[in-house]
Amino acid sequence: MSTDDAQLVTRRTLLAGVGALGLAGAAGACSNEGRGGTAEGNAGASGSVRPTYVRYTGVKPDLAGAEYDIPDAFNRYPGSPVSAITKPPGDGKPIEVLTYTNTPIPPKLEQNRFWQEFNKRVGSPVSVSLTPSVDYNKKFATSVAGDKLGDIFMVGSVPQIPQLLEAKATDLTAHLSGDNIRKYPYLANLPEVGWNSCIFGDKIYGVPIPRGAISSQALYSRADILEKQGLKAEVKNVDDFVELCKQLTDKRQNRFALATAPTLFVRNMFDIPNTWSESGKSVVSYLEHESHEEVFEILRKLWTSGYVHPDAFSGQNQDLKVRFGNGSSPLVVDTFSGWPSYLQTAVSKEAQIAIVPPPKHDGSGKGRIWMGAPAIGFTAINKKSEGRVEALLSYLNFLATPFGTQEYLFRKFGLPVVHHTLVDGNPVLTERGFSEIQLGLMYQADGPWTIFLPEKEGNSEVEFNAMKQTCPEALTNPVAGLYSETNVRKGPQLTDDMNQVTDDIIQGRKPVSAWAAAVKKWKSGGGDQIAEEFTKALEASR
Amino acid sequence: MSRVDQLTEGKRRQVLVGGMPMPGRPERIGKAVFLTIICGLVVFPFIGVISTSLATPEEVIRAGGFVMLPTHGIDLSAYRSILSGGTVTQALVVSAFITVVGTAIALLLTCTLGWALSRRGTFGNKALLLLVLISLLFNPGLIPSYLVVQQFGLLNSLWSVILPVCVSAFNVIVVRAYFIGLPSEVIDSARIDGASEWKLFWYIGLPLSKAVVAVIGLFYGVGYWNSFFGALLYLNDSSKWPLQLVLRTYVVNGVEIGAQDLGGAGEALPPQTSIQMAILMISVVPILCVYPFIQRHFAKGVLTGAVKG
Amino acid sequence: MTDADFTPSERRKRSIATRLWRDSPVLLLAIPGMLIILAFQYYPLWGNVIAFQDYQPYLGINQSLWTGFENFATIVRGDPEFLNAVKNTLILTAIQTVIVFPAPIVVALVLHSLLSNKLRQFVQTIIYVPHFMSWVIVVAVFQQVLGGTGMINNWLRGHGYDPIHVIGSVDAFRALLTSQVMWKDTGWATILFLAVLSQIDRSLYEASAVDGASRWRQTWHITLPGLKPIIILLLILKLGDSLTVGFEQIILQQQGVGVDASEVLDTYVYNNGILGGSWGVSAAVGLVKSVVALALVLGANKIAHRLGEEGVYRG
Repeated sequence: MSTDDAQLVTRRTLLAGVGALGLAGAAGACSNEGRGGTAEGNAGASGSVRPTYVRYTGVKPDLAGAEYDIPDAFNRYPGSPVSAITKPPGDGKPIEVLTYTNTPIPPKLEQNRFWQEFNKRVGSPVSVSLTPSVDYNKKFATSVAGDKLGDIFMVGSVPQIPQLLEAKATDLTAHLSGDNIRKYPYLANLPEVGWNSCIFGDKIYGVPIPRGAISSQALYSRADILEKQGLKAEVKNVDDFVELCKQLTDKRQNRFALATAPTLFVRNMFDIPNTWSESGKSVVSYLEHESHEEVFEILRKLWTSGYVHPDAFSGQNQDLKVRFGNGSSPLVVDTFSGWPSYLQTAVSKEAQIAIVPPPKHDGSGKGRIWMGAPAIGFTAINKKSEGRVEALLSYLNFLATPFGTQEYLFRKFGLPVVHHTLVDGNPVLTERGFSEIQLGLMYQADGPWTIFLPEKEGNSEVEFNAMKQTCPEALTNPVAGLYSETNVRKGPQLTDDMNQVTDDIIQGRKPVSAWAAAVKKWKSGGGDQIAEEFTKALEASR
Repeated sequence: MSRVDQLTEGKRRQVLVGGMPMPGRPERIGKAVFLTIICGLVVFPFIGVISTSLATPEEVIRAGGFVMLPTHGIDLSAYRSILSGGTVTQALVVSAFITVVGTAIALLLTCTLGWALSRRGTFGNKALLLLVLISLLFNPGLIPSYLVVQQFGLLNSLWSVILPVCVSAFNVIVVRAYFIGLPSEVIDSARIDGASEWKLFWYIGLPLSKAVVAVIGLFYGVGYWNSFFGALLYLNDSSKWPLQLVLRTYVVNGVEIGAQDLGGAGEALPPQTSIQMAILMISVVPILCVYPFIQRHFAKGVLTGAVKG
Repeated sequence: MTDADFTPSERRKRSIATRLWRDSPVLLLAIPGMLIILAFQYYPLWGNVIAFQDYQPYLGINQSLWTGFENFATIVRGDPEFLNAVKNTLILTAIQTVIVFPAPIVVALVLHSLLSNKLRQFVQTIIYVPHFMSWVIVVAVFQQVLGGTGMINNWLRGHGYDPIHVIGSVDAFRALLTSQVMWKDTGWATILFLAVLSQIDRSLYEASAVDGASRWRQTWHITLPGLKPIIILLLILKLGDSLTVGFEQIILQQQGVGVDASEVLDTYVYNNGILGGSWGVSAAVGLVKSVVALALVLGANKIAHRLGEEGVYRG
């Protein structure tokens, strides 16, 4: 009996009780006959269905990241970009997209040169319904309820995703599995492991937005500030790290070494696994790792010694960039993909970023950072638009053209002169360009991430090398992209609870011994069930 | 308009101003101190808000995100980045439309309903009042509201933002209470003279209630001006978005942005706090401009008129 | 024919018809407003039935599974965190009623007693501005002034003093929340009170002054009674809102002080039910809050009647 059947039985029993109290009213209307989604198994990606990975070689990177599993890096945009698409992907009929955005909305079509040109190149008029990313889940829920999902939609975070996709999204397996994907070469260029999150029960339901190594978190440091104090962006063990923090803290000058509590960095020093790890046949949560008590002792020490910014727990996310930028906190843990933002908030010309790789806590070697999630979401094609699926996939293929191509240049920088100018051979968006290109394209489909940081000379190389140094040995999350129903329903709360406990312990409101009790609560509150579901999904995907 | 009278009746000599005796020195000093403090508490951070929106990006970052007084010159880049591209100016127009039309409709419907409910003893009065009161306390929820708006065919139309909120139960109850408190002699005598209910409402009730109507109008107006959530759900076409929703997209809360989103080399976006403050200024300034016109209606000394005689 | 010629029920029907006819102008005036309320408040209310379902948007109401009272049980698991949230909510509500609610009345009275129109309008225009700041900005502003590296602490540290611990301090949290609410909304709330005060008949003051009343007596016998109805009305209506204590404001600052000090009903429900996309739980909570609020409002109204006041409505 699957878990869903068991739940149905319990609900019927409950209803029977309610009926006995005379509260059920029209008993027929209250029964669960014919209700609920199909009891679809929570099976994860099956290896046989996954699309073949065909790496695009049309553009040669300045620094090739393939062998280290990191993004390619470019110092300069290729002078004569290749043309990747030969004919417009659209079929002439309007394409409606529902997705979110992190940038301001674009001017409307009539006043938007970029949009008009974009429609021309696509060969279909494209209209986007954009929502600020923080509000997207609500918009998505109402769009599902009201059946207004457009032709292509970004899948929000909701329970029962496999059932939802089965009911509302087109099955893409026939078009994308195995070698079928070669018809869409730029979708084939998307990293393999990113497809896991789109595959449910042996069916492919969407196209992933790739990330991967670039989403890994590492310790940023202000190399210039360290240098001025004669310190190196390198620590050999825990004591070394604490000492570095001490050196960088100067309360009178309102300088505190760490912008936030470096929880992840310290965990990296103890080789704590990336969210989940395999232990025999099952998966185990990192929360149960035995080194946590030691990690907390170190974090508490950092906090009570005042090496962590006193507003670390009260500010907004952007404060990290500000503190790093003005030097009041020269150390911060953030993702590699945040590098450009840190460059933007740099106020002094000499500001330099250097990544501090984590050591093993006892000095016996290198620590291991956590590999970032392979995808940050995926877009699906509406079941109602099944008849046009090839045109729509071609459209997504068009959006996935990689760095260095004409199409990429157009998509991200618009038309020359009108939307961007060339500075040192690199395209730079004009104000008009910046405002007109924001059609939410990067959250519909995109090519693999590329390191391109023309703002500051040499930074592409610095980031590339930092990633080369830390990512090849990064710990991967074995269940990345796999689906667990309980994880969607209860996961956020459970995680939130653990984060609260973590914050409480670090700030001293709870003792370190509270951790064990919290983990137990996590397990019984759903954690064990999530582990079970992930274990099953992992097996199914092999 | 003060009027000074002097008493000579053997009681204490008092100076009357506006009908009330002149306040003594300690009272005046106490009030002055009190008012200065509360004004200061508000003005002080607000100066910081203005300054942060006008300071150069470097200064804002150096100062940790908030600048009290810009010492390194004025920089309009925060405003420029918001106002260029025409989306915000368009949204301003949309919001102005929604506010004006919405407030007009809201005032009309709220006051008529409030008046009707204030006529106690009429048929169904208590039932209707209870209906209104209960609607104040019970919330339909996000998805049902959406489905109803969809069912009425209002999706993607500005009316979806105007109609669902044009009658606020709270405002109805407040207006009703006020109408009840109106002197009944005037109304009764007019009724005896044969005035219709509408005439009573429009020519007697409303003029006597200028202050409250002005305040309720202000509440609705500000509500419409600040609204964004309805638009988020019901307006797919972002060219129809009102001001606050458009401005909401300018504040990115810590989500990763690629270099391409930030505009590449040399096109540094102003710091987030600058943008947040500029957004606040753009939203507040129109209201500050309109408010004095509304304030006139509850200035002291407004003659309460027709009751005398 | 007289009343005696009809049976009691006929009499009733006839008198209903008469009254309807007689009152129709009034009822006509009520129709447009009621239509809106019925269409956009009552009609969607049936959607609250999802409180009894495991509602999934893709299934819709017709297809989602019924779960009886399970959603309600989720809220009140009986665990200490829920009770803690209730405790915090009640304490904050009490503080709101005792301190935050009277503040704009005091300010309105002071402003009302000013001699100069210009000064009154000037002050009033200034103090309502914070109302327009979103909670994100208000919290940021408070942090910039009172935070660990805020203006005050930077100055203290730079001059060798110990920094004060306000932001992130568990003990100061309630005071912080209260002062934030007061800073943000007092000015705005005075508008309504000022409007009511401005309508008090001038001649009452003059008449009492002729009788030799001092300012205090005038305030006590004229001004305050003039405000009493609106104060009581607002107080009762506020009770209907009392279980909703500053969700956004608290969620923004929870991390700094921890759950124990800051959790209120709304954040508890958010952290324990809504995060996972549980629409049913959300609706269930809404229903419970509404029922309790209704009871509070009706109860408070009755108490007002006992005290001889009008309240929201007369029985």
